[in-house]
Amino acid sequence: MSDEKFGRIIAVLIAIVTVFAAVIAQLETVAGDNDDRANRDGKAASVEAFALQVRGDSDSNYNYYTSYEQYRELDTLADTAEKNGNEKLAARYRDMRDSLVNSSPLLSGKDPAGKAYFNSEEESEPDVLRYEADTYIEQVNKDLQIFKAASVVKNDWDSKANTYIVHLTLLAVSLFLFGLAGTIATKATRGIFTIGGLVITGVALAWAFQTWSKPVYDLRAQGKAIDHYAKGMALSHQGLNNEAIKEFDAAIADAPLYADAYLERGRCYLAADPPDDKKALESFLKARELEPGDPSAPLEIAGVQYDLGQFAEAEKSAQESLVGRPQDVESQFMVALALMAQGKVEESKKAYDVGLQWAGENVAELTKAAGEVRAPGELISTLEDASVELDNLAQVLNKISDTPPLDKVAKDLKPEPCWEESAKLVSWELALMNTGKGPEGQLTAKVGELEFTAVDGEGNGIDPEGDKFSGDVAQVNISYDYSGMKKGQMVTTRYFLNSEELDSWRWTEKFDGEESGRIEDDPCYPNYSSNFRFEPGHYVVEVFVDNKLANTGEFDVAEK
Amino acid sequence: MADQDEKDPIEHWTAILIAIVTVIAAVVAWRASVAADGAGDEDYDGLRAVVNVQEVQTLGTVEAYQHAQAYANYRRYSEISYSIGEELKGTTGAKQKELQEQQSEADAMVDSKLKMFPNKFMDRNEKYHTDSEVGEYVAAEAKTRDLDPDPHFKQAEVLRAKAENLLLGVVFMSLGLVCLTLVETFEGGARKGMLLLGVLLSLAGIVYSFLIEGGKL
Repeated sequence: MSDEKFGRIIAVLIAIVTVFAAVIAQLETVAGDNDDRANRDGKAASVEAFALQVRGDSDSNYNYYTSYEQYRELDTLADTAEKNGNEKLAARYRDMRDSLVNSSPLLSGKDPAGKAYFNSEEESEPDVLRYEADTYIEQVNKDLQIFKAASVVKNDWDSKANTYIVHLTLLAVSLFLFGLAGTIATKATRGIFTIGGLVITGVALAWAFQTWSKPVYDLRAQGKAIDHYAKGMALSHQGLNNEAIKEFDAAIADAPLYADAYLERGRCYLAADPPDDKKALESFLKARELEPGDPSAPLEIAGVQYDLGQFAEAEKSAQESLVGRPQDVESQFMVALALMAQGKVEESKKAYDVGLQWAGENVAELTKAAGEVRAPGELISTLEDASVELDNLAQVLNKISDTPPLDKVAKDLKPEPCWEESAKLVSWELALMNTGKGPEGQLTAKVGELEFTAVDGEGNGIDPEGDKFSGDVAQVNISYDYSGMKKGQMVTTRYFLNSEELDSWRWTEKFDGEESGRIEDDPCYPNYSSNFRFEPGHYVVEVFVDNKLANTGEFDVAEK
Repeated sequence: MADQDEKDPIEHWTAILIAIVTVIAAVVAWRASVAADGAGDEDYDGLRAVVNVQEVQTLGTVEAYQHAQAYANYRRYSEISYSIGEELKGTTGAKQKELQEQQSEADAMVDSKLKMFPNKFMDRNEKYHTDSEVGEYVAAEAKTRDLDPDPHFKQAEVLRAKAENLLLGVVFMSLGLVCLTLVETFEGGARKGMLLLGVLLSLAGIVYSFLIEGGKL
């Protein structure tokens, strides 16, 4: 081939590559613009969601804790006045109570379907959850999903724009090689440069085509998927799980790759009455498949697998959750619980100790920074939940509870290690709350059997049948003998009604008595009034000395 | 030099055309860059307006509920005072004195609470309008702060589309330049065809860019 002809070919090649470079530069610009647009939309949605959440909370708090609280206060005063025979005063309080109703949209407002949030004739409490769902929960969830979807779109367009830059760089290299080929006289060398340039151009163009042809998935454009999701979240906020599941189904129908909809649908299946563990697990597994990097799904999966008796799988899923959330106490306790159910008691105890150590480090760090005891509520709640799960496992072993299924639990597992670990967790919970560090030393005090006496609304004693009090139970008091106590020791009493702790009943005080003696008729509830009555159910009382469980007792209040 | 031009006028005009188109393409690219920069600025201004509007609404809401809380306390003491007044009507002696003292205390609390909220947001039905208070707060802030993001976002979209379209014009001009550059490598009719194609593509790019810049498209 003559030099002139070769020169012409090179010129044509350079011209063609330049045209491609111009087109790719245009594609890069469009991708960059789409990246900017999605970034802007995401930021706007996140700010709106955050602000709306704050405004919604303020609104709901005002309407419940100011308006409704005053309403209830006046209602209670009216009842008390009526009981005391002062009808005139009762009527006065009722008039005042009713005049408050108009001042609050929670007490006087209606939802879009025309149903009042508060029907004072038939209900004692306004439907705050419905009010919140209508006023802000749905919109906040919609904004948050728009933010998340826009962020994904932004990332994808950003990635495309960056890839086009690589293509442009490759084309620049090709142009350089063609340029060199045009100036070199040696045929072999210029041939190599030309072929090299052609190969690189081919790779760049094929890659650019692949990048261009790959669509950017935008959840916002998938029908009404986000609207259905937000409605589902508003319904699940109200505890309407079956209705919420239908909305999540509709969201998934519009957007089959919608991981959050699967995750929330799984949570609704678990919270539904009756719960459907198998469908929940299916939803969680699909959510994990769609978003493997999201650490929410593995812990949910572990919980359901545990409930279904798939303990080895639950342990593995909880371990997976720990990869996404290092030093997550909840995930670590799930590992420990799954080990316990498999009968690996020593391994389980070690796993619990690791979780407790993390919890201790967390509180110590916060306490050091604040200069006073700081135990985060969610951590305390995690310790409490873990303790309840262990108690529940012990109940399964005693055939009182049936989840997880007994036939799946290790045959040689006894309830005792479950109780021991549960008590240890509660001990840690109280010690972290009271001292900012784990429990220290051994229990030296002895607390005797807890004895209960009850009084009715007229102040007359109620004779129990065994541990059960019947009738109009207005007060229950607790008595016990003790020894080995020291002044200044912390005595905590916790109360449970049907396995749920009565948070406002928990009482901690410094001991200021003799070394040994008897506590006589200590009231269970901190503030009995003439209107107070014990709800029917099974009550459990735990007495702790210096954050260590000293004794437990129980009594029942019968239905009237 | 004059001999060469006479020998091959196409080469001469091609060089001039390449120079002209290159300069115009550079100017159009500059205008595209200015438009893209403007789109970024409008996005920023729009986001700032979003933050402003959310901040103002949130602060206004929180303040309105603080006032509403004070209003609720005012209402309670006001009702207590009124009710005691009603009860007073049929009483005499020690009971009357006791109730009068209670009413006096309640009235003092009414006065105290009345100063804790702007009472212009109360209506005749004695309802406190938090919405109106938030609305007034927002309106007052709107005089000094930008609370409308939509025009900024719309303008950003306009400028972004303009930048993209101007760059499309540059692409056409680039194609024209390539054709003009290739004129030299062809002979005879192909040479003239390439020249014509280069001129047409360049003209298309230039006209398109001018229309975009002038807001005609």
